[in-house]
Amino acid sequence: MQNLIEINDIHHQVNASFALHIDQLFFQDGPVYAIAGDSRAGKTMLLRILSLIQPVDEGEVTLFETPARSARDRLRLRRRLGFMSQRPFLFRGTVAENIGLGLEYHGVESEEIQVRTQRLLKQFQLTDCAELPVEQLSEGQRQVTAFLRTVAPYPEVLLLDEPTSNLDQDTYNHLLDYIKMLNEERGVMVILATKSRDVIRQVANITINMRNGKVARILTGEHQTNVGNGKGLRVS
Amino acid sequence: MLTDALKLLVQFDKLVYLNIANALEVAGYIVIIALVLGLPLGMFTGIARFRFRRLVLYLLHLWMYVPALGIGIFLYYLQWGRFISPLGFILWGAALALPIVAGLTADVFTGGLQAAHEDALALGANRWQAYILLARQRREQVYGVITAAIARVFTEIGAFYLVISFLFRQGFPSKPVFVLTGPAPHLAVALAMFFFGIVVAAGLHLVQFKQEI
Repeated sequence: MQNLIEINDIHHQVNASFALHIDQLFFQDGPVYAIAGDSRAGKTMLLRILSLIQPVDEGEVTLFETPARSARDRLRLRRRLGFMSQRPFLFRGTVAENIGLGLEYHGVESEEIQVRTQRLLKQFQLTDCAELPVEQLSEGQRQVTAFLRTVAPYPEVLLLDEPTSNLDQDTYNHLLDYIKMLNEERGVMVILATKSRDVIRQVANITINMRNGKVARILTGEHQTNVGNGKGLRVS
Repeated sequence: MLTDALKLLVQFDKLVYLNIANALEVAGYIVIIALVLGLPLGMFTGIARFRFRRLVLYLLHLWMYVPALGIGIFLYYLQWGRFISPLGFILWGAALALPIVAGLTADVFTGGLQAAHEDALALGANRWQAYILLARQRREQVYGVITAAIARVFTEIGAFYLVISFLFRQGFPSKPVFVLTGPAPHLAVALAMFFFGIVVAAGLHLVQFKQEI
């Protein structure tokens, strides 16, 4: 299997009392990865680094065998990823406009944007909300809109930070089913940060446990490996 | 005097409107240059995180509040009179107006938009696409910056011209200087121009006020 993401000797000082430090970590094409851990374990920071939103103090991130060094590299690589932050910001306008935004930046034709947007809204039974201003949405609808906006450009790797927060049970189940479908049928590699054991149980193939800004251990299926501070770690 | 000024204004006095046109032309060039350069610069310094950002913001604000009169006297002592030409006026004016626009814009975009900026980048926007998207999120405030910049360009640059023209005994291209420093009857013309300015400022403010509501 191909390494889609590699990080080497990453060190990032978040504030005076917290730093993220990972010597080596590979994410290979195929499984759904869950990044788990308590609050302030470094889950969100790791996802932000993987999504190339957060530059690091030291170390290198390589995506699709291309090191993310220049601004041009980062932009090109970011366009192959889908990243949904923990508290996504919905931009002024309607639900449909928000979903179409990423597609516009990917240079998709306006007719295709409409087709894809309507299809996604239909899959999440939000067709009636298409023309609603985002200010009128419930928390759950906002979360789903942000998710649809992220998956609309057909990313090769999907990075999701707590994607199921604020969702009712039906939408929660539907979203997890959709993530599994993207992974199994469309071959999208998924990395999600979560505190929920249920999310991990339902969708994750490999779980990376974070503690104090370091990889503490890796769980694959029923097997569990304690890897200390993550030195020389290889996830496959 | 007041009646004379109003008469000149309503009777479309040639001198009054020639002066207004002249002042608008010069200030217009200055505003356009300041906006074209100042808006992106302000957005960049407001949003981007880079080394010495705080220092840059500090200097922008410091530059923003340097009195135009002081700059005029400074230029006089440096004997930069040779730069006093129509183009020179516009360039000096733009240099004075640029920090006003950039500083006010940076204030609009500092804080509160970091998550929006990151989400825009995550969606595949390049730096400038992200800035345009963020400007749309704060369009009322951006409009406010533009109107404030126009108003301040008129007042600050007017004062700058006044000093420069007085010190160097040259009045072009700002004809109001001749009017204000000329013989007594010309004060009515100056007053008429002042009324015109008030009407324009009130109109701009009304549009801005309606946008904010």
